[in-house]
Amino acid sequence: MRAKSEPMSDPELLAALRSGKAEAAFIQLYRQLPDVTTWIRSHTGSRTEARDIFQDALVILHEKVAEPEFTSSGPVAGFLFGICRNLWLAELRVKGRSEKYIAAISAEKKDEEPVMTSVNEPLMQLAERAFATLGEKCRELLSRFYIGNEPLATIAQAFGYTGEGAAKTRKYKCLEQARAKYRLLLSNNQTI
Amino acid sequence: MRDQLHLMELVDNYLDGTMNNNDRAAFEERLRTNEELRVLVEDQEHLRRAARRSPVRAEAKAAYRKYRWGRMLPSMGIGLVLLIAAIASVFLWNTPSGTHESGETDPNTAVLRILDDTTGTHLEPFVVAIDPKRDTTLSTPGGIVLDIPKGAFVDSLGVAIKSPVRVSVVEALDPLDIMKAGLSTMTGTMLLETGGMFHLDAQANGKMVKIDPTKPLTAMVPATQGQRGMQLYAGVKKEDGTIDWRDPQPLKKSLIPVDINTLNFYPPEYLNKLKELGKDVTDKQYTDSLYFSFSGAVRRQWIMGPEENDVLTIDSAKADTTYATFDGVDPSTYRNVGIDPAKVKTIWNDRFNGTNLATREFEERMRSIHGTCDNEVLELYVKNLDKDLSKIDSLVFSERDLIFGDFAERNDGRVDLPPHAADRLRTYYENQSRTEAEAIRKTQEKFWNEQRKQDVRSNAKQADHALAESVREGELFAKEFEANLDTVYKQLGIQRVRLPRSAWVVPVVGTGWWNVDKAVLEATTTRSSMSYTDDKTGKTATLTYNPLTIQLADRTSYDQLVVYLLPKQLNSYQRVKEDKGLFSERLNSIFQYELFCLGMKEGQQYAFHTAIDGVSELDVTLVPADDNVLRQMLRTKGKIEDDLLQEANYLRWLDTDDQRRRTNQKKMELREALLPVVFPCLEGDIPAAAAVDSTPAYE
Repeated sequence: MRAKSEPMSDPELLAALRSGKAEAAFIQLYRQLPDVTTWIRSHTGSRTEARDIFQDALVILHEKVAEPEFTSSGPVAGFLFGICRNLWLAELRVKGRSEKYIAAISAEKKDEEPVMTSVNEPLMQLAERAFATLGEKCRELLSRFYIGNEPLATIAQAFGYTGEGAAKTRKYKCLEQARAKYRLLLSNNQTI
Repeated sequence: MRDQLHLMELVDNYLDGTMNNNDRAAFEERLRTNEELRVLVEDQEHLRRAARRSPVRAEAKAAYRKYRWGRMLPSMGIGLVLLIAAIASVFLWNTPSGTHESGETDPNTAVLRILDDTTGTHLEPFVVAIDPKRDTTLSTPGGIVLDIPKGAFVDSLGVAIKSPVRVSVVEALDPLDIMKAGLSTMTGTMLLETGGMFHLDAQANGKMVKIDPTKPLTAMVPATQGQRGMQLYAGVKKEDGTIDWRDPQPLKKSLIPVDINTLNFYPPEYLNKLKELGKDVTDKQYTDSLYFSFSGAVRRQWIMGPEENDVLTIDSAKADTTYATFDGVDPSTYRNVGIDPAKVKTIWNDRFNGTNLATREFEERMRSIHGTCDNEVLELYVKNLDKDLSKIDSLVFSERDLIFGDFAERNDGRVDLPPHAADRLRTYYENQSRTEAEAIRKTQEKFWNEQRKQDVRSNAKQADHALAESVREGELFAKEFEANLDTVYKQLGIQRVRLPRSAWVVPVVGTGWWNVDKAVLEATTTRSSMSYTDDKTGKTATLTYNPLTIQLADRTSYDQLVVYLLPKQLNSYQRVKEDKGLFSERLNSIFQYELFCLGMKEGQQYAFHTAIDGVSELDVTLVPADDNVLRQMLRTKGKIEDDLLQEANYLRWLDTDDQRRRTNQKKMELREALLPVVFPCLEGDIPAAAAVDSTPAYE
């Protein structure tokens, strides 16, 4: 039995991330934040930006770990740092920094495992923002359907809809709203 | 709609992998040829992933809060300390007074002996003599501010000292001084990180004095941003001569109020943007007025209105109704776009001097408060003036915005207020912020309503003038046509018969004078020369139009400029058209012309008048001219003089009105440029109606 303050091993961290109880793993992984902050600040970023990047990286890490084909030979912390680095390089591109500057940073050798961050990440961020703008009911409905995999009949009952058909219509209307918002955000972010 | 829903359901099935092979192949074939469907699949995939990420992100945020608190708690309990050997050390460090001095000591002596307990440190003491019957504030060379209330020093019997007291301060505030002085930073066996230490000594008449515990001295020690979790330790000299630091007390970083008007509560990029736009950022009255005028411009950006399909509309409702509906609305359906300038106006004045808000520490938070775009965060600080800033920081950190965790760690205290002051200011803020918003709204409405009325009046006046000008030009044309006909007929030696108007509709069956009339009409219309020979008599009639070009000096400097030709024989005037900076016209040789120019430059009227004597080019320089000068120029031309003076009046009015419109236009452009700075969380295009209707005046 491990003492409460003893850190999780990498396999334990991965198991925690996959178990649906990621918070404890995240808390431990936040210990890497100072290193990431130092690195980002040394490459023209701010503490706030470092924190945002780190949070995005945790979400991506969680997503990647959940993929059946995920394998990692290196330490989780290094993997996480790699994601942060890729996200920050992408951010620098959005900020219009020269490719020469970005290439110079990319060339810096790090011990962590190289990670290919999804090229769709900026789009995903917009999709997240679009989703966040939905009303609470819509968010809950879509979460129950897509995350909880609840049948529409159960959802209809929980929301007091007349039946499965009404729940299905409601679900697609919510999705349509999210898409409208997403498209709007996309049109305002032509650089992506 | 059903088709679209069905399509989205298909996409779900495709992404879930629940289609059978045939359906899947057919769907993928459609994907290859249908771009719209491909985009739909991509969008839906992203949104499904976003839905899955949503709880994960929430967990990440929660984890960060816990991680931060986890880091902060130990440092608050046992960690870093500031060694400040304060009041207690007066007694602990000093040897009996008799060993220092005997008899009367001159309190005004500038250089005194270094006390035993600090000898060997090679630190220079700061020594002053004070009158203990008065409040005294000292500032040491190292930057310690020492506040000594009157009656603070007492003798061994507890009686207040009345004779001058010599106060000595030895300070070692930076690590180099501490090391050079050989001072230890140990508490028991633990090494402390020090934020500095000082030694205080007070004597009267050569004897040590005590400090009345009910009237403690206050020392404000310079603190740097990096020092967190500092505590106050008292120094106890051990037998081996070293100092052990004991009895740690929580130490709060005091807030020192400054004049609130010297602080900057604007949104972070506001002044930079104004500077970039070429505005005078040193004129605070202007920058204030402009910023405050944005109150009510945009309140909230609706993401989903009462009807869920109302995506992204701007709420620029009247202040009173907005407040009325604000509370009952699901906060997830709208986005706060920025801090209401009316709220900033309410706190940024002398009334809040001497409070937490009038501190550099709050000024720093204000920048982050703007970043949250959340008025409730500002209100937390304003409505809790009797609490430490760090408490509010913690609350905002845990409830709203993670960046406030950095502020919370600083453990900033508060400015003490007189009894009930916080309550009074809270009430003032609640009432006044609404009143300010309403006042700004009324001002802006009044201004822009008046501008709209002026626009209507102005448009009508310009239309009237254009109509009058058109009528005058028509009359002038008719007169010139008549004069040309008379001239031509005379040259042909024909008696001109003026037919009644009704005769014009009688069909013309032969040649005769009709040709002449038409040629003259064409020449008059096009203002070009003509020559006509009568076949029967062989006589020739001619009309000659000579070109004239007028070049005005410094043309571009005039805001308004009109050029008139006055044909003497017609008792009227015609306006000369301008093309690419040149005024040109063809002059009828049967008339004598005068030229009259009117201009407006920076509100000043200019004019020029001359007779035109067979020249084809004229260089003109206008001179300043009031109405008297104009009259002299026009001399006695009867009705024309009156008409042209009226034109001058109209031009002055037009100039003023144009300036008004230009100023309004610039205001609109300036506001448009500043809107994203003042409301940093505003997204997308702002509907024109919202921007225009609510644009306030800032004169």
